[in-house]
Amino acid sequence: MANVVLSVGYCLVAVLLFVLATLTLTWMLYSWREQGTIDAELSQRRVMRSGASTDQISFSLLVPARHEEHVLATTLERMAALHHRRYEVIVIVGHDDPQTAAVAEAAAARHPGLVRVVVDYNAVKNKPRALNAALPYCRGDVVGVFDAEDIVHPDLLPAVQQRLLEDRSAAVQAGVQLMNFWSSWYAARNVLEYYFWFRSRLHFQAACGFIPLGGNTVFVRRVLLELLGGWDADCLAEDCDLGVRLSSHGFTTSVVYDPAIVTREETPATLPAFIRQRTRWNQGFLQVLFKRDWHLLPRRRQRLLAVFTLCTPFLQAFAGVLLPVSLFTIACVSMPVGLALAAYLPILPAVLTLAVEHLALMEFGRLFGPRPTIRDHLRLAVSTPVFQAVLAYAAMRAVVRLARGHTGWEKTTHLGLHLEQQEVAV
Amino acid sequence: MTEAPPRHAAPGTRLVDTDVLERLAPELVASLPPARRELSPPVTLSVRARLALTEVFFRHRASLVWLVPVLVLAAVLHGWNMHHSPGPNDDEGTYVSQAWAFQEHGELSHYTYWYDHPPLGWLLLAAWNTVFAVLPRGASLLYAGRDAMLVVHLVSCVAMFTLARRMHVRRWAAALAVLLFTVSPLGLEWQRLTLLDNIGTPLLISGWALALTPRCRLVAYAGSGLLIGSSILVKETNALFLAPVTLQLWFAARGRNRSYALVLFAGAVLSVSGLYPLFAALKNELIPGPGHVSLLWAIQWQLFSRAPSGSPFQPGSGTRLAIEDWLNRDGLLLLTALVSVPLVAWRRPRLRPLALLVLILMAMPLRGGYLPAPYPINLVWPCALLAAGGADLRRSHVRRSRRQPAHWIITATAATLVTAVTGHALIRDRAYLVSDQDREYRQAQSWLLAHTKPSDVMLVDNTIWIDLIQQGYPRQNVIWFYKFDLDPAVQALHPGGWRAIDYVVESSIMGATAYTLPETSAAIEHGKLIAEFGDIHVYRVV
Repeated sequence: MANVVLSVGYCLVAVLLFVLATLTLTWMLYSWREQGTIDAELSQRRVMRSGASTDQISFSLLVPARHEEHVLATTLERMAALHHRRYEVIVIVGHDDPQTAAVAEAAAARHPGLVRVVVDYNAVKNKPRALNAALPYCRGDVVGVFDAEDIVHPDLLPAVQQRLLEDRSAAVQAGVQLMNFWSSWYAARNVLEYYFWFRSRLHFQAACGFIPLGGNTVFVRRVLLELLGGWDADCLAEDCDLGVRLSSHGFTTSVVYDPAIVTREETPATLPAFIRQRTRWNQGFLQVLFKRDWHLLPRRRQRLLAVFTLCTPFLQAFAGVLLPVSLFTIACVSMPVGLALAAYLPILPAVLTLAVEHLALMEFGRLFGPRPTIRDHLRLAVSTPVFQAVLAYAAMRAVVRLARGHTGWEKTTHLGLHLEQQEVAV
Repeated sequence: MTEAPPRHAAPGTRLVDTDVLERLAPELVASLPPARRELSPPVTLSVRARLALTEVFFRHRASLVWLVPVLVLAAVLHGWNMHHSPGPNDDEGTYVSQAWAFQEHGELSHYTYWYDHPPLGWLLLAAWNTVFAVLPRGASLLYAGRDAMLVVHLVSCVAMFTLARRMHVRRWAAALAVLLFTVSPLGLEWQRLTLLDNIGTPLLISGWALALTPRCRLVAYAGSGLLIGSSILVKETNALFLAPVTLQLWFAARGRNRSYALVLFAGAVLSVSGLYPLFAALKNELIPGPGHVSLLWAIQWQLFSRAPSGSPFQPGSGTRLAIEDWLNRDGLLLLTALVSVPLVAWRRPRLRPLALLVLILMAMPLRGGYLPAPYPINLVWPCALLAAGGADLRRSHVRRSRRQPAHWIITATAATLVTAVTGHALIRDRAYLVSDQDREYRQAQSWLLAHTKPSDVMLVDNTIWIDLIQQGYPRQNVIWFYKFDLDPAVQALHPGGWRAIDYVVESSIMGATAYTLPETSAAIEHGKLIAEFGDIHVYRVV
């Protein structure tokens, strides 16, 4: 009896892993699924690049900065030189952070009327509170959010404006790309994660009408933002929460991905920093899941996708751990052949996913440079199980922190590794 | 401070459904798209299915006009009298028995499975028997297998039409390809039989057709890989077809997702066909060793240890006789295909991999190695497709207007030719529609049921085996004659050797091979002939 229950459970787990891996692979390849979609994407990019900038929409770009004195100056200089006439940059600094404030004030002095500084006097410091502090001071039609270490492309705003006018959408998520796939053993995986998410998966989410936004290079119409009450001050993934609330209330979001104008960022510098970042995101996703805004979504398919997307970090983490465990049991435990065959099923999409990731790394090298070497490919292949273990650890850490009620913001430090690369290229 | 609730909206309402925007920001309302409306009333699955089906029929109406008459002809030609002609083939009995063993006992074979062929073919047959067997209880599973082969043939016809269209062959030529495939007497001789090659044919053709997806859809490439991999799991020799399909894919997958397409195809083929060695490895039967069968040994036996059929240039050799038989039955098709090879290679790039395949298939018997009897099954459909493709040579620089008399003369001539060829083939097919080739087996079976007891030990061929087992005779006593000499498990059950046998039912296949099997030939020698039905002799062993 116990044997039967175990066998059935084992089979079920194998089937679930298989389904999860296949769905992930399918959504990873969503943008490449047929020639028609690729052609449409390319023609859209051509239109965006050739469009004239008529400055119909005004932008307020928010840049929350905390202990970012190394990278803030460069970022603000770039943002002051965007190819758009009607926009303003609002830097938000904490009242307890004089170094960053000094850098911001210097930039504001260099670009009066364009760059302004808002001081956040909240006792608890986190990103959503900083953004909410600046929201009353925004004068533009559309509010955009950037991180302090971003490299923003000058032609980004015209492209976003064109999409807002064409689609008449409530929000636009533009592409963000991590650049430095060579700097650490997990960097290539991290970079490809972003690549597939912004290049492909986000389009699928937008088509389904449920899209968790990113915290960066995201633009929302100011009226709607105020209607929705701004960002959630206690949520650790305030960007995801905003996206979920926008989707749930029925507003459409467009996605813009053009490799030429993508915002460039860097991977977290050290492994503990990476784990802290993932823990924060995972905790935030759980918070959004439990807030149940997604209940407003009209169709069951959308609600299922909502739950699935918000649980994805956990599903993937545990899948990544369960797969090697099941392989181990096949090798060491004798079981009926049918069961062993079933347990092998999830490997097939996993191997295909790995092959697709290598192809994507080569494509990434062609699009953004430099070309990945054999060493990069080897690191990508070999790092898979360790990366999955790290993600699983971050997922568990998030659950533990949420259970204990630790909702403090663990900040990621930025060293500007990608900025050096940019300087060298220039 | 927690999040401020959205103003002006009651909890549980979506902002976009309220008039908040019109009141607060009227200038935005015009610029926001309307919220997605729900389809009301909700469209049920059956309605949607009906709509989708209607749409498919409407979109393909021009093709259906050509295809449906040929399908009707195929159904009648292959279905009429299919139970009784051609006569039972021992391999049919093998596969049907193995399907039965899986259905009834969950085993891969009615005897020890020794990896002679991957099991997917008879697993599919078992699925068919479970779901679709429309025969009354007790009717022979061999007949159920033949029913399945009719369905398989119709699916192959549709797949072949699709493949031809995707190879840029015009509709009339695609219908001609299916027609040649269906009426070929050589095809009809083999396509009615429950053989693995027949089961693999629709998988191969559909897989090839999917690989030529016009919109370069990744799902189609993955599906193509799955189907080709499955056809390899039906019969391992179908791996030969990987070469032309891969070649075709290499040149046809020109979309921007080309690298992903190739990876998905290769991954799917390898994953599916890799299940077979994986299965063997899990059962510890991959590598040869004492006391167990092994996959590698079986592959080595198939490739190297089979007796060669002789050179085709030597009169009287097995190969020569087989080729003469094929040419006798449908030499016109084979020769037309051979003639089409250079034509197509010169003018039709999309058909070149097919031409290469036909060349390879025609060259292989020339080696003089072992030639399996059902070889024509894999030969007829590529030849039919190539012949029709060769007939559809376009002279693109000459536009023939429909008003010119030359157009009508050529059309009339072509139609006459096709009608003549078809009529000639149909006349030769007539034999299959009227003759009764399994009467002897039915008579032998009813005699055995009347005159023997379940406790009698009998040596039979696989056709009578499945019939007797279905009537309730025990497996220990009814033995497939090969296994009496070759399977240690069977020998353990009957340690007395040929003396333990009560009856031997000798059919033509047993007579042809018994000289290699000492116990069987000893049983026949010591047996007294007590009944005779054509080629079938029943001996009582004393």
